[in-house]
Amino acid sequence: MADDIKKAIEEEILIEVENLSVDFPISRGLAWWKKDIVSAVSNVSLKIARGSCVALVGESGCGKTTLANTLIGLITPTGGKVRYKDQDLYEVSNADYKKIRNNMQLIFQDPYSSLNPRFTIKDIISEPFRIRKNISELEIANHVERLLKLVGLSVRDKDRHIFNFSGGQRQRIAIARAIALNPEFLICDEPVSALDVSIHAQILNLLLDLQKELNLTYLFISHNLAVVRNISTHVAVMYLGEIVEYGEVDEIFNNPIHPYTKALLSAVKDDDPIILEGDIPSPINPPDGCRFCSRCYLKVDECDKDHPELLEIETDHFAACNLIKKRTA
Amino acid sequence: MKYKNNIIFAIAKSLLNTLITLGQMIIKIWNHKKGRIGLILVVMISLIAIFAPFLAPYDPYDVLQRGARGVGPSTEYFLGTTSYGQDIFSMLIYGARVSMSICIITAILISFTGAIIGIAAGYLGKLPDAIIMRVVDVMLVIPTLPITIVLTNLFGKSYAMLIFIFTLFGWAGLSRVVRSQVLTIKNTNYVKSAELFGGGKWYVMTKHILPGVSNQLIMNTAMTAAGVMIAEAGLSFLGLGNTEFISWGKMLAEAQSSGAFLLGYWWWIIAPGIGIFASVSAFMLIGFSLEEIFNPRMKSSNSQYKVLKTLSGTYIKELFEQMEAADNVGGIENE
Ligand SMILES: Nc1ncnc2c1ncn2[C@@H]1O[C@H](COP(=O)(O)OP(=O)(O)OP(=O)(O)O)[C@@H](O)[C@H]1O
Ligand SMILES: [Mg+2]
Repeated sequence: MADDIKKAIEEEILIEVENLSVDFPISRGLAWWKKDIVSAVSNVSLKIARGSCVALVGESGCGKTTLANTLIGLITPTGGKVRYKDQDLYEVSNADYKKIRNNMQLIFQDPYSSLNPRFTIKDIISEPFRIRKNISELEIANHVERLLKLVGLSVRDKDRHIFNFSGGQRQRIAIARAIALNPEFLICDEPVSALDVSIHAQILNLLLDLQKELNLTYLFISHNLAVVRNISTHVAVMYLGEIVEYGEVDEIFNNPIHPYTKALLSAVKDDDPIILEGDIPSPINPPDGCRFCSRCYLKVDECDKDHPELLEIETDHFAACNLIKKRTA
Repeated sequence: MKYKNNIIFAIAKSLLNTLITLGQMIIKIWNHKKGRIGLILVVMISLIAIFAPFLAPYDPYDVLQRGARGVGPSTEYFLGTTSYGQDIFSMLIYGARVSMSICIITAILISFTGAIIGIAAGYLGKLPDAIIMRVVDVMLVIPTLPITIVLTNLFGKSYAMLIFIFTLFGWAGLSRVVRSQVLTIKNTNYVKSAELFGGGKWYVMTKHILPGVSNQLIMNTAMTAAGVMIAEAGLSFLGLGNTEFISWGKMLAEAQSSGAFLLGYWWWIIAPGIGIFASVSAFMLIGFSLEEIFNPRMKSSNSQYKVLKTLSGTYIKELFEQMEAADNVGGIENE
């Protein structure tokens, strides 16, 4: 009985993304009236359960940052819905929206541009409290100390400017700021990709510790599958704005379905890797058929025309591929 | 009650912070070779302007009481007299008041308006930005002199009018620079982060954008002061300056119109010239030193020469490359 309740709580859906699309109109050259569409995120659906860590994996330029920024509200989507605990983010009242937003935070990709170089550590970490107002200086000071300890920085450093700090320390500061208001949901946009390899493990461990300590739910963006394996519970593989495969981390690693996922994994496992030809194509006016077909090593004729839907192939394991669809049908 | 105390505390703190940063900046300028010379000059000229009544041996407006007209430099009149019998040394001292105060007031006004308009355009974006930038474009290409003549004819030539005209024509260029800086800062992730925490436009503007553009503004203020000094001299020389007080530009204009050049009264021309030269170079020196302090990459014995040097350097290099290429072509043909 108790287990059932526990499971129910664990499976409470915190974030639900439904058919989210983000298009950027761009004008080409002098012909400003002719707008091209960059389809950065296309028809993405995703459920994130409380306490889980969903990894979003994909090559550079596939729309990971755009998706993250849209979830958090920095970008207005062209279509689709984002629900937070059954509240539609784009339909709730302003006051409710503010409350929801306080529960979501983002750690930016690059800790060098996400911290104001004119600020001291204390200024940076206390910014969330100051914006919220009606809090005394003493309380702010206490919070700053608590947060600095939490992310493993020395309290003595609080009056120093950030140009004195290394990338890893900066990312710790950014993390401290992100968790300042006790969010429930934290998006980590490639939190280690701008850092030295030697520091990756430290930061990842910090994020894992914080998850346990503060009951956080993560959307963890990365282009490194090896990192993902240790930290996440679910994996979503993204290609050119679309999610092509989604499932639990062990499922994805042991039983990948989509040719793109297979190729990514074989590169990590490194026994007879599948090498994808060419680069990721431009997301400007993408093809009607499968977006992966230009690089797919299993391509058949219908891939040029038929756009595969994301289907539940096995329980809790989704993939979007014409070949698989045929197999199950 | 607690809240009230907090406000007072916050104001006092921000005032103190401003003072501290100003102090730090002055120390930095002082530690800079060029900046120190400029700082000393500006302080000296300002002191002279403030204490003019105590320093000037005669009343500079006093035309009738002495019989000495067009007298050269002597122990009685350090810098000689005008052909109306005014003591030039006293005029020089009093002239500092008008010239310096116009410079400083206008420079500050231009910086404020330019900054506010530039920040508004950059941060509001969209329609306000488009409108403001079109106005700026117009202001930048508008012929200033005819409009100055029209304005002074309509509203009279006065001290306040000068300041108004200079500010009117001065803010546009600055606001364009500020706007581009604001756009850069606005798109940084730290501003996005502040917005994620619910920081409104006012918060972002005062906490991130204003401090971010302040360096540029301070430097610009110094440079503008130098420019205004020259512009004031120019307008006064054309007879469009203020009619109320003695300024260095007006001294030059009077010297010219009374035929000082023909009469050989060189002291009448040199004295205001020195005043203008000293104050312009003082402001420029401060401006250059600030430029080097804020952009350490530019640090060198003389940034202006360096720009020239690199320019001519690349030019010469290109020339050599072209010659070499021509040689090669010639060589192939010969073979
Ligand atoms: N504001 C914008 N206007 C036009 N195109 C954009 C804009 N922002 C992103 N894009 C395009 O959308 C696509 C996805 O970009 P995004 O930054 O989300 O990729 P990413 O997966 O985060 O890549 P990386 O791993 O390099 O961070 C890219 O092709 C990018 O050029
Ligand atoms: Mg990215």
